[in-house]
Formats: sequence, C-alpha cells, structure tokens
Amino acid sequence: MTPQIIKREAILLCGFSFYGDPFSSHDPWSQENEIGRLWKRFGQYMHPIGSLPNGINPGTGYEVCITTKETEQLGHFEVFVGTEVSTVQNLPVDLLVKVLPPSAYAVFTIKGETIASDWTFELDQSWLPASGFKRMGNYTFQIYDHRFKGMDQLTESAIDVYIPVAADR
Amino acid sequence: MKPVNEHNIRSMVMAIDFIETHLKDPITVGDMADAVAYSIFHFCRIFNATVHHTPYDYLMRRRLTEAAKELTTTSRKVIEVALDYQFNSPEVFSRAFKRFLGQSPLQWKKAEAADQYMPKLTERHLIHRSQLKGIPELVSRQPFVLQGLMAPILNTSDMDEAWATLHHLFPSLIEHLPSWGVYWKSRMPSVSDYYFAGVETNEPLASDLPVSTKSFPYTRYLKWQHYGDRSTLPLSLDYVYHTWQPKTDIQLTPNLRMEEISTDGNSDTLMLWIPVQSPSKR
Repeated sequence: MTPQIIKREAILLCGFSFYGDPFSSHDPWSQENEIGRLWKRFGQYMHPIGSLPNGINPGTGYEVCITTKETEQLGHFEVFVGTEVSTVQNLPVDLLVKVLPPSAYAVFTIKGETIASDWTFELDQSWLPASGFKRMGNYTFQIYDHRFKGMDQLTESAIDVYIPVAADR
Repeated sequence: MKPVNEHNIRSMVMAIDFIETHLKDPITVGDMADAVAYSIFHFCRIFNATVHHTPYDYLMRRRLTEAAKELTTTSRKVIEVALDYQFNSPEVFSRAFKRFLGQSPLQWKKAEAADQYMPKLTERHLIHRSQLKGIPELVSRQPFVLQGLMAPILNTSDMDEAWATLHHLFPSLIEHLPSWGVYWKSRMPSVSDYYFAGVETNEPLASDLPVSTKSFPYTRYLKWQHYGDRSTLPLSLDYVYHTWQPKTDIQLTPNLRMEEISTDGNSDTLMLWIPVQSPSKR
C-alpha cells in the first residue's frame, strides 16, 4: 500500500468520546461495541439538527483513536467520534471538542474486508520501516464519508486512514 | 452455526498461553499483542470477541485464581504471594482478591471455601464460545417439586447410574414427566458432591422405595440452553460462572445447578437452571 503524504493545519473536531476498552462485552465490528455505540449516539444527535454551526463537510465523520499511558498496560483507548468545524464558537454544550495539531499525514485508502483487518500492524510492519517516515503523536484517525456503506457492506466500502508522520532523518 | 474463525482462535490460544506462562511477570496488554504479532487495538478487538474477556480482565482473574490456590495449598504469606503475582501492595491485592472471590486473602486461607477459580481457557473453550447462541436469561419460577433418587458422586458414572435406576423403577413415568438433574457441589474437599435424578410431579411416586422429594421455592433463576452433549457442559458452566456472571450484578448460587433434560429423538438437550442468590454484587 502506498500512501499519499499530505499536510494539514490543525483540525477542529466536535463530537463524543469514549475511554476504556472499546471492545469489552460485545462482538467486534458489530455496531454493538463501544465504538459502534459512539457512532450511533453521534448519529442520533446529529440527525435532527442536520449540521453544526460552522460545520465543514457535515457528511464526513472522523473517528480518532488516541493512545494514552494506560493503553500499553491495560488495553484502554480514547475513541473520539465527530465531525469537523471551523471554529469552536456557538457549539452546543453537550458536544466535546478535539483539536488535532498541525501535522503531515500518511493517508491510506482502505477498501473492502481489509477495513476489518489489522491494517495498523500491516502498515507499521510493511510500509513504515522503509518509508523514510516516522510516526508522530499518539493518535490516528479514519475518515468515513459517502464511500463507507456500513459494517454489513464492507466489500463495497472504503475509508481513509490518517497516520501522523514526519520525515525520519 | 456460525463459522469458526480458526485463525483468530489459534492466535488467541497462543495469546492465552503467553499470558499463562507470564502470570508472575510484569506483562502488559501491549506485550500480549506483540506475542501474537497484532497491533494492540486489533488485539483487544479479537481477544474480546474470541475469549469474551478483555485481555486485562483475563490476566487479573487468572492471577487471582493462581494466587488463591497458592494461599490454600502452601504456607506462604499473603504479602509474598501478592508480590509474586505483580500486585504492588497487600492493599491492592486484598481489594482485587475480595472483589474476585468475595473474601479477604486471609479469610480465604483459613476457610478453604468452595473453589470459584477461573480455569485457564483452552482452545475448546474458545471454539465453544464462537458457537454460542443467545445469552443466559433471568426468569422467575413458581415453586415446584421433584421426586427421584439422590446419589453421592464418587465416580463419573454415578450420574448415569442414578438415571438407570430411576428408569428401572419407574419406566413409564420417566417417559412422560419432565426430567431434572440437580447437582450439589460440596463446599468441602472431604465431602462428595451429590446428584439428584428426578421427575417433576406433585403425585407421590411410591412409598416403599428409596425416593426422595425435593421442593424448590419461588425464586429467580438463570436459564440457559446448553448445546451439545454432557461432555461440553463444563465449557458452558465456565462461561456462565466466570465470564457471564462477572459482567452482571447477579450472584448465582455457587454450589447448586439444575438441568432440565428433554429428549429430542436420540439426543438429550439440557436447559440449565441456576438459582440467583442475590441481585447485588457480593
């Protein structure tokens, strides 16, 4: 897999967050796990209002996976699900804001059943070592837009995976 | 039947083997993922889906199980055992221990109570878990009466023998009345477990025969269909007691379980009934 390398300014996201083991007690990749529940909650919140004040590309959803000190030890992650906004002014108080710093990203488009596979490991093992880049930050994110048809239609779906990187000198 | 994902099961058996050989080492969930060459995120996803525990929960339960065994079988001090199993202080150990086994390590050491140890999960467990249909439900049941034979379980064949005797004594009744097996697990190692083979009826069976009557009061039960024959029953029981129960606020009666047996052609199906002891966490 060959990524596009792009630079992005700080990204302002607005949405909901989960912290813990997102897979405990439910099936993987079904909409029943904590990530699925987070998306459901966000979807139910957004549906009646349509878009946020200062929203950018309201049909595009971000899923940010953040590792913390406890990730290695306990397997806990923060998962943030939301959409992009241009400023934080006038946002509803029941939504959280996440600021992703300016960074270069390696962007991979992942299609079909591969979406449910361990692409993080694949990229770290097969792409990263010879890429001339190193990973930055403690987060990655995925973009879900019209190309993503749902977990039950993975074969017709595609997502973009963003990995913060810097040149490895 | 759901297809068994053999690759995931193989990987998670390897992960469990890694955990089991390092219960006394300071391993992390990251180490477990490395051991099977998964990213930590994907590892957590597949472990939860296959083992039905979070990796960290499995590690802690197995550490506490082995620590509890050491406390009852050796004369080692609580603090030594705690440190061995990577609990940094007796307080942390004691708190986790009490949550897991309902008693402090010292009480446990003295009491030699019924074991509630979580076993190492094997490939058979994981295959069984990949085939689960439905989850246990909680139901209330009116009082009912069983009549039949009570036998101590000294050999594995004793349960079959109880049924054979009952068939011999009451051949026609067994055909037509709901059959129940009731299993009492002894709380002490020196006393054997008991098994009751009987039928559900309010009519007295006969007075000159060694028939016992067991009455069960109105109470709440866990009710769950066990698929497969009796040889895989321990896998269903491990799931109920060690995986399902800890995720709920239900406390099951630890030493009593009932099996409603129905015969469908040549094979028996078992409906498990386990009385709920209390609705709140111990």
